[in-house]
Amino acid sequence: MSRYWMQRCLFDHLRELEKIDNDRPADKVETDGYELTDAERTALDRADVGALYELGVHPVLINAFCRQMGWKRADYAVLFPEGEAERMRHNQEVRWLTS
Amino acid sequence: MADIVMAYSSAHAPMMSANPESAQPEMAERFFAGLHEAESRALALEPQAVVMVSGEHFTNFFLDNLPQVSVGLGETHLGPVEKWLGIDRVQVPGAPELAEHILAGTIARGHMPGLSHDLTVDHGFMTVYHSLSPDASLPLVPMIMNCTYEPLMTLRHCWNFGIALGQAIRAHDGLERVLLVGAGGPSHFVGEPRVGDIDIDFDLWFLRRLEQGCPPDLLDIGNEELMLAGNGTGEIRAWVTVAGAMSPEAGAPPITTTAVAYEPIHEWINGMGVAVHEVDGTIGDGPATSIFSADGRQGGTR
Repeated sequence: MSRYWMQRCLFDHLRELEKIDNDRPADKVETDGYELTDAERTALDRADVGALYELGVHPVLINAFCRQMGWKRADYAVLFPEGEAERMRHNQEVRWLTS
Repeated sequence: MADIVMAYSSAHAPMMSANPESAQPEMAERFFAGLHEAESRALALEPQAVVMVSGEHFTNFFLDNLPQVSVGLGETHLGPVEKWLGIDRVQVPGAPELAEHILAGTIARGHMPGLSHDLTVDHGFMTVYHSLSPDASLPLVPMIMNCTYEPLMTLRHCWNFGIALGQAIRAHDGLERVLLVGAGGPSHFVGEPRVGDIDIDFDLWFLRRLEQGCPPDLLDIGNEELMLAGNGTGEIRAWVTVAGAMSPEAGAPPITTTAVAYEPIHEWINGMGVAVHEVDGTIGDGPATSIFSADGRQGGTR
């Protein structure tokens, strides 16, 4: 359930930022009241996108968080573990290249 | 009974509204030309409402309760939620009677969509809706589809749902002219190390398969293989749903499907495509020009 609460914390933070009268800074995630491990709480407190990714936060939530922070692609691509993008690019046969 | 007078599908990248000038001007111009062509053709047919299918971005639903499809039954829909999108937040008029008919009709045909009387329409809807109806006057039925949190509907499943959707709309006797729109995709990667990658080969292959009426090698692609084209690419589920609704099995008259724009806009981190499904005999100035035709080539490698 821990990953659930970590993602729940981020989801609630995003909803808070959308409010018209919101005055919470985008990088100040409220972590009190959520069942979190120390690593999860630290990653959220620091708005550490790379750590959030490695802890398993869904990419759509990460993307929404980065958008709220005002980051463009170049800003947040560098926050992920180095070399991971290249590792993820594949050489598998896919039908759109073979058909 | 209602006619689906036309359908089209478009990418819904937030940057197309938030920061369109970030793209290379000629690429943005070609994409918007394609989108505006789709809109002009649609509006010339005087639709009374638009049904729009788009992917969920954890705006309305979280992991405590995530439907595969949810139909927006509200009298109005608030959107966009993104303050940075470049579109003023408004209450978009709903079409509750049509929405309820769609809900009941797709359930009667063996599917199990959820419902909401209080959907928020985020960039997934508003980028495309606002371009179509800048004064937010066209009633909207939003249909939110889970396109990113596994397990997911297959493309075949979405096609079959689209058939039921098309049949349900055509059985509605409260309106005469309905527009159907799909939003999202094609290829993009978000919130992960490959953010910014675009799979141009996939996008052009997909658009060509769409023109060909969604043959089995598209509809039977597995979810894992589809994901290789991008973790956001699954939003083409909305396009396939729309295509299914415009198929003969859905009761559609003969149509012509045309990919009218495709630009791999890296500044928007999205392959930006637009495709139209037009009813033969209703196309005033003749069919749209395909990007795959000799004089319509707009970009890509295939």
